[in-house]
Amino acid sequence: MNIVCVKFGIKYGPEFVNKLYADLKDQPRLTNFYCYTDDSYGLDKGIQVIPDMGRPTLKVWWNKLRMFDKNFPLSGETMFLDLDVKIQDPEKIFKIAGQQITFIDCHWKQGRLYNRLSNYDVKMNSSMITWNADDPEVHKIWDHFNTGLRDYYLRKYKGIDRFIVHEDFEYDTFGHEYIQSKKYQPDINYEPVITTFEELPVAIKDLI
Amino acid sequence: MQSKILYKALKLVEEVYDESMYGVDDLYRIKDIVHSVDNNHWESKKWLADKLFDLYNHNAGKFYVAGGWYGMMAYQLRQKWISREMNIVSADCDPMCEEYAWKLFDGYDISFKTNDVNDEEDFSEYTAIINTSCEHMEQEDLISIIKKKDPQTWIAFQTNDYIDLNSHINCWPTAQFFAESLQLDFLAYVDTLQMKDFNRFMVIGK
Repeated sequence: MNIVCVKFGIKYGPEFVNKLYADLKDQPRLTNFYCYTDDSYGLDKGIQVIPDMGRPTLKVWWNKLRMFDKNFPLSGETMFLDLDVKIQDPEKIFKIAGQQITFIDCHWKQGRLYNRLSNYDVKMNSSMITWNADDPEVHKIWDHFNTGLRDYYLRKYKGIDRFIVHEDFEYDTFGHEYIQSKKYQPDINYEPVITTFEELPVAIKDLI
Repeated sequence: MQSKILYKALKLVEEVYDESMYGVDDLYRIKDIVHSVDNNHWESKKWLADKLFDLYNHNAGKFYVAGGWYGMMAYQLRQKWISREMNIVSADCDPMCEEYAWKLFDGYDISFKTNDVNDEEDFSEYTAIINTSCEHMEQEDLISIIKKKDPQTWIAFQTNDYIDLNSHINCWPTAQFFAESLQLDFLAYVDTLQMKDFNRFMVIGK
């Protein structure tokens, strides 16, 4: 399985990529570890750098969508991890890929606010994604984004999660037992494979 | 005149809401339409029309508005060039812009169309190319427009320094830097309009 992360802008330094790589590099099921970035300075030698693919120019997290471009240089089973994810079980993480593109189910988002029909917020999260990089259904996400409506989507949606849900793409979600949300589930009684720090400030020491 | 446009915008908002109940659910259009007629956009586009009118100094011609959105720029141009001898085309790659622009600015003798400015091969028929959406466009595409145009065709471009929006991919720190980036043969006007939270920059030249 490929592991890929995305680093654009200055929010996360190379130490976040190197930490993720260090956690996963010895796993036998790891094929290659990739980083799609506009700045490869400081990345460990074992990391395969995918340089900024250029047009269309995208800012920060919107570059995650580029991974679904059929011309993105990956093939086969692939997992994306955000740089604010803490790896809890590096062995088990390679065993949880879904049949189709798979995201985190934010089952902790409950209540009337989240259940309104007109709610733009979504109950999935792209801190961890698995997909097959050769799957034409996945390529349709990138193709759909790059219509005459691309600039509208960038204004309309806060990020790729809302784009994928509200533009009606089908996806699976990981089992709840694999994921911990540090913000919404600070105390849990199971052993997750990752902890996500989504919506929280994170320092490299939090991921150790 | 302003209240008439704002009333039409309100009716459009109502239409988008009705459509969201029985057809396409796209309530964000409401916010987008409201933005397009707000004071910021009204003033910045009027600023362009006023300055270009002074410099252009003709009644006749054909203007191309690139990234024309819901038509406010074309409308402001029409307020200055009231003669039918001035042909105004407003294009946007978002097909919904054409649909809503016809409803907002019907009756002002403006031609709205759906087109990506990068697909325009020939600008020779236009006497001015106007673009107030430069912050949303790739820099090389702006240069390409300028290279494709006739040397005597005016350009009037606006961008801003509002970098905090993800759709703003081509902001500049000053009007002068923006002017230099366009590599024009002739600069007629370079200036800044201070808005509440950011600066809007305008370059007019050939």
